[in-house]
Amino acid sequence: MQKPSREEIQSLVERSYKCRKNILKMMRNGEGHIGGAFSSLDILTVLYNKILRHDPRQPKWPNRDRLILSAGHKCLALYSALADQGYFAEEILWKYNTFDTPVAMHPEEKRLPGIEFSTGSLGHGLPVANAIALCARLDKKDYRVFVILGDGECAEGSVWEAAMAAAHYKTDNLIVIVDKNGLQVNGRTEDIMDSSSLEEKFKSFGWSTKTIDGHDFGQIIDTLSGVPFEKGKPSCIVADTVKCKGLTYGEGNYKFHHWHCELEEIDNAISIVGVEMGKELDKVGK
Amino acid sequence: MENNLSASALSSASVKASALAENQKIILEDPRKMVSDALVELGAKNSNILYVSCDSSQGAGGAEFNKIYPERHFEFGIAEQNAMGEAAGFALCGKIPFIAAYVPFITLRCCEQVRDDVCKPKLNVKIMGNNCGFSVSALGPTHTVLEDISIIRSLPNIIIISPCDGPEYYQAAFAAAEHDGPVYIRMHRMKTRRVHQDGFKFVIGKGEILLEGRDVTVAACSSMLQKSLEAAQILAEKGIKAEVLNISTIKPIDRNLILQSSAKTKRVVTVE
Repeated sequence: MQKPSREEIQSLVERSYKCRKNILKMMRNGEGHIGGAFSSLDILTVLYNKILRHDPRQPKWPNRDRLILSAGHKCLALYSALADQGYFAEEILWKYNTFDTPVAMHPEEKRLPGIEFSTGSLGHGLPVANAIALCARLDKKDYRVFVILGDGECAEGSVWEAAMAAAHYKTDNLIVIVDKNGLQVNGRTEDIMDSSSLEEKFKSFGWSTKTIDGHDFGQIIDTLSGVPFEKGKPSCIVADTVKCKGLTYGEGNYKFHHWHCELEEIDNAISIVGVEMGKELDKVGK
Repeated sequence: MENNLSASALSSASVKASALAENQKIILEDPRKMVSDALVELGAKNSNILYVSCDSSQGAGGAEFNKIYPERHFEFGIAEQNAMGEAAGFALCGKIPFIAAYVPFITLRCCEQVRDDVCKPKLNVKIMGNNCGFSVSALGPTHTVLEDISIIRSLPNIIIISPCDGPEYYQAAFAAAEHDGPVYIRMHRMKTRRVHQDGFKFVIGKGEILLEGRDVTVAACSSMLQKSLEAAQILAEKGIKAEVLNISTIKPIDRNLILQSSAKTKRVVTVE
C-alpha cells in the first residue's frame, strides 16, 4: 500500500478530533465512557476511512468487512465515527442518554445502522466475531472481521476460549486490536489484574501479533494494511494508547473511564480538544 | 387425591404393566438417535444447518451429522461461553446452528451468552441440553440440574420444548429448525417409550390430551408423561378418571388447554 500523504493523515487527525468534540457535545446529556472512547478513536478513524471495505448506504452489504466493538462501553467512539461516515444523521448523536434512545450507553445492533452486534458485556465480542469470520469461509466470501478489545477486558476467560478457537480454525480473516490504555474502572490494569505481555499471550495461543502506538496514524495505517500478518493465523495488534487521549486533564486518569461531567465543563473541554488537535496537526506537518 | 399421586405410588406404578402395555406394543426409542436422524435429514434439505459442539458431539446426534457434513460441524472443545457466542455469530450470518452440551454447561455456564447474544437479538440458535433432569441416574450435585427450565424461561424470545417420546423428539428438531428464533430442547438420556400414535403432528406451543378424564388434570412433560399415564391407570382402578395432558412446549405454554381441562376437572397436578 502506498504511504499515506501528510495531507491525508492531517485529514484523519481532523476527523478523529471532530469525533472527540461530538462526543463531548453528547456528554451534555450526562455521563459516559469517555476514556476508552478517546483512546480508541484514532484506530476507529483509520479503520473506517482507510481499511474497512464498507458502504454506509448499504450497512448490511453481505461482503462488507465487519467491525465488532467487543468493548461495547467505548461506543461513544463508534457512534461518532459512524455518524461521521454518514451511516446516520449527526442529530441522532444528540439523543444520547435520552429515553428510548438509539444511542444508549452500550450499542444495540437493531437500533442503529452500522452496529454489527449488541455489545457491552465484556468477553462476548470475540466468539461472535470468530463465527462471522468462519462464515466467510462457508459462504465463499472474502470479507474480514475486525474486533476491538479492551486490555481490561482480556481478564475475561471467554476472550481466551475464543482466541484458542480462532487459532484452531486458522481464522486468518479475523483481526483483533487491543486498545491497551492500561486503565480500567477502578485503577491501573496491571494493579487490578496484570494483563501485561498481551502480545506474547496471543502469540502463545497461535496468533500472529504486533505492537503499535495506537495514536500514530501512519503506524496504524501501515500495520492494519498488512493483515493477515501470516496466512492461516488470526492477527492481533496490541495498540498502546492513552486513556482519554485529547482531553489533557483526563489523560491517563482512570477516573475518566466513566466520566460524570458537569454541564459547564463541556465548552472548556471542547476548546482543550481543539488545542490538542492543533498540536497533532503540527506534529504531522513537521 | 394427593396421596394417590405420591412418589411411592408413581414408583410402584412403573413396575406394573400399564394400560398402554396391554393395548399396544412397547416401542423404546433413544432421543439422541431420533434427533440425530432429524438433523441428518435437515442437513440434507438445508445447507445452513450447522452443528456446534463442546466436546459433546456424541450427546445429541452430532456424530452422524459429522460423518455426512464434516464442514458444517464446529467443535469448540470444553468452552461453552465461546461456543454459545460462536453459535450466535453463525446465526447472525443466516446459519441455523444446533448447539449441544450437558444441561448445566449449555444453560448455566454460558447463561449470559444465551441472554445477550442469542435471546435478546432473537437469533436462530437451537440449544440442545443433554441429560436433562434425572434422566441419567445419580449424576451428583454439579451435573444434576433442576433449574434450567425456570432460568431459561425468564429469558426473552426463546421457545422451550421438553419432548416425551421418539416421534416428538424427531418432530421437535424439525419444528425448531423451521421456527425463526432461539429454541431450547431438553434432551433425555434414557430410551423413552413411545406414547404417540402414527400420524402425530408436533406443533410448537400446542399441548395435547393423551388421556381423557373428568376428575383431575395431570399436566406433564418429558419422561414424566409416561409415569403420569401409569399413575392414571392406578387411579382408574380406584374409580378416579384422570385427564393426562402432554405439555411438551413449556414456553409458550398452552394456556387454553390447561384452562379448559382444569375448568372441567377443577383440579390440576403438574408432574415435572
